[in-house]
Amino acid sequence: MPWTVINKEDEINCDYGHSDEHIRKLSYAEAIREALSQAMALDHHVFLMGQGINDKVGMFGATTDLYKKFGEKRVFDTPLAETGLTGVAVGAAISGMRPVYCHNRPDFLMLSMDQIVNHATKYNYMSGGECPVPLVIWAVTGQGWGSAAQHSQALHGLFMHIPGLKIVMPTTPYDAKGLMLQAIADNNPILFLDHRNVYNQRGNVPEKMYKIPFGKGIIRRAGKDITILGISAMLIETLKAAEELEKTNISAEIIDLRTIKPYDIDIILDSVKKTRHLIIADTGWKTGGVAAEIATVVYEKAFKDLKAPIERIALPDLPTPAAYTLENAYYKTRKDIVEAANRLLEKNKI
Amino acid sequence: MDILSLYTAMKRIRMVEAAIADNYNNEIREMHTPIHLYDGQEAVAVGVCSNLIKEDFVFSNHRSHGHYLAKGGNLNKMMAELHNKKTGCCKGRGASMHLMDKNCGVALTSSIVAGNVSIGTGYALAEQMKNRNTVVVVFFGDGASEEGSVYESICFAQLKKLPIVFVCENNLYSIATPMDRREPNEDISSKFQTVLPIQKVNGNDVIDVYEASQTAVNAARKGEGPRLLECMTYRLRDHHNIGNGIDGRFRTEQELKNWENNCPIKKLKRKLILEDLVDEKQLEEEDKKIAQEIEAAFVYARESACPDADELFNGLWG
Ligand SMILES: Cc1ncc(C[n+]2csc(CCOP(=O)(O)OP(=O)(O)O)c2C)c(N)n1
Ligand SMILES: [Mg+2]
Repeated sequence: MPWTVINKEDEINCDYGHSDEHIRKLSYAEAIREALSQAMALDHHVFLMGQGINDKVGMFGATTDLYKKFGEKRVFDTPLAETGLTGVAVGAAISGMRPVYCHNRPDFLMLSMDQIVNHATKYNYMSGGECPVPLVIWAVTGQGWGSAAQHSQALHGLFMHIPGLKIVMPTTPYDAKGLMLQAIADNNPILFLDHRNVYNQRGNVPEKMYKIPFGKGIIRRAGKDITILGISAMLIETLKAAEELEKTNISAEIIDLRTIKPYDIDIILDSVKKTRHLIIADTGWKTGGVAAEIATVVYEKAFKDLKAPIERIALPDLPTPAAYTLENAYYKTRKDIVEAANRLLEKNKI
Repeated sequence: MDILSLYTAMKRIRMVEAAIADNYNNEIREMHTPIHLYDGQEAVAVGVCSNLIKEDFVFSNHRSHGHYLAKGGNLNKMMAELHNKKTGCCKGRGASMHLMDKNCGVALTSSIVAGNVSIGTGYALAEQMKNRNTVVVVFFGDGASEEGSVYESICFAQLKKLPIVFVCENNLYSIATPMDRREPNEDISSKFQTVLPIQKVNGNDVIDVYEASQTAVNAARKGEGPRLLECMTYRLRDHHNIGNGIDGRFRTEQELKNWENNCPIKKLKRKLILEDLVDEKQLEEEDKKIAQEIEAAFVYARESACPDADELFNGLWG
């Protein structure tokens, strides 16, 4: 049952051509766990809280047994009280601690909105820079197996609208570790949003501590005909699409932004200058979403570089259905990306 | 009160859950849905809902199968919903965590914990405004009781003397987290003592639940305002999925065994037989009937069609 348990058989390698047998490999969950563990060992201000944090399968294995190492004072279970406990985390952060508050699903963060939107993201500015809020809120977006409308929402578009919040969306284990360490070190409220589907990945993760700066994207695959941006789990689909496109001699350049606020506009503009075509594939809804925001900025800055309109691959304006036939119709896959690429390049020929 | 029908209603829920568990991982794996089975808590749904009339409403949560069936939900439509079919009670849009059926008063089910509590309260407000004389029951767990909106709703319900019964099913766990790691006071109902009349009952004794909820439902119907029942019970399966949760994650085999002995169905059966209210044979006959009904529901579900992709947007707007 692929809902909460990550099956070993489902794991996929994700080193994208940089694979080296001699380098240590970790699963996505192990990579995050290592980041949390190293951050806690380094800085006694860091602590972890969340429902089921001490349960082996609580956060898909990413917090397993950390309480044994650091004690239940620093790794503690929380009541089902997201509204109040988010405020508690904000309070602790303001006093100089570095809480990481984890949630199984971003859907539950809707109960935390008051504290995130009205408080955590406001206080440093409102105090004239005297009141930083070094808080990490971490949640895993769900997808599939009838998760339905209340357990599968990709809500980063909603959060992107809020000034004062940084949004991190890793896909590989390497990035998950480096971005989690950066998130904990940052003095601001960070939303660390990963996706159930990226937890199937296993890849290179150095043992030492390292941080990946926010707002720095990476080219996952170089190409020359079309640029495809893959956000969160959609990156996996874009890479599959690129392989398929290669068979028809279309060379796709795949970009992983890694953080969507701030995001690396330069890496997109540089690529588009070369390929002159852009597809943005997002896990969220299309209307008013992240793809819409990025597309607008690309139009503003590089209208002349584009040979064809930008294509957005994103979810239709609809709550997630439960039935698999409807899930299949609702979610976007590599097929949609391949079709969009063909459409774009075809359009261009005429 | 018809004790035999309380028994069969509980047994029916248990057998439905067993059939779901047996088929969940079968070759066809057609039930694409997370499941939170109700085993062990049947006395709560059955004891409470046996005091409701068709026109009354229940508001349910992720562990919805028992509430749905006890309130008179259609078994065929439930199975079809679990099988992701368009003949399901939510036409394949909701699956296990969102069973709803307006026709029998399962007004709403939310898988966002405690989301149903304030909505049920609003429903009771509307029923009161419409002078409908109906009663609303909200089922929620011990975990849910920790959400602030539960307190807010209960206070408001008392302020307006709403026709609602809040039923807290205290099964001692929120997923794998026991009470003492979440609560300074494990006596949930006492926290609401100064707000409204409360009663703590043995949630594994269907007669206790029946009697307590009868008082609460009658009071609500007479306009005397809301009550809170805390039903002490226990989940015999894991939080979700079909296991029994004795993998060392959160409970011991001994703890589970103790509660298995305290199973509400077993207990009532013992009583029925001891007091000569029924003989084994009769109960076996009842079981057979239930088994046939379940079998038919599975056939119905399997033979039903999946929703078509072109129906994707149906139901978005009212
Ligand atoms: C607002 C919210 N937070 C967290 C969850 C995840 N979750 C689902 S069920 C559950 C436990 C609920 O416990 P309880 O209310 O006692 O009900 P039980 O499962 O014991 O029947 C949790 C934490 C959720 N669905 N909604
Ligand atoms: Mg519980």
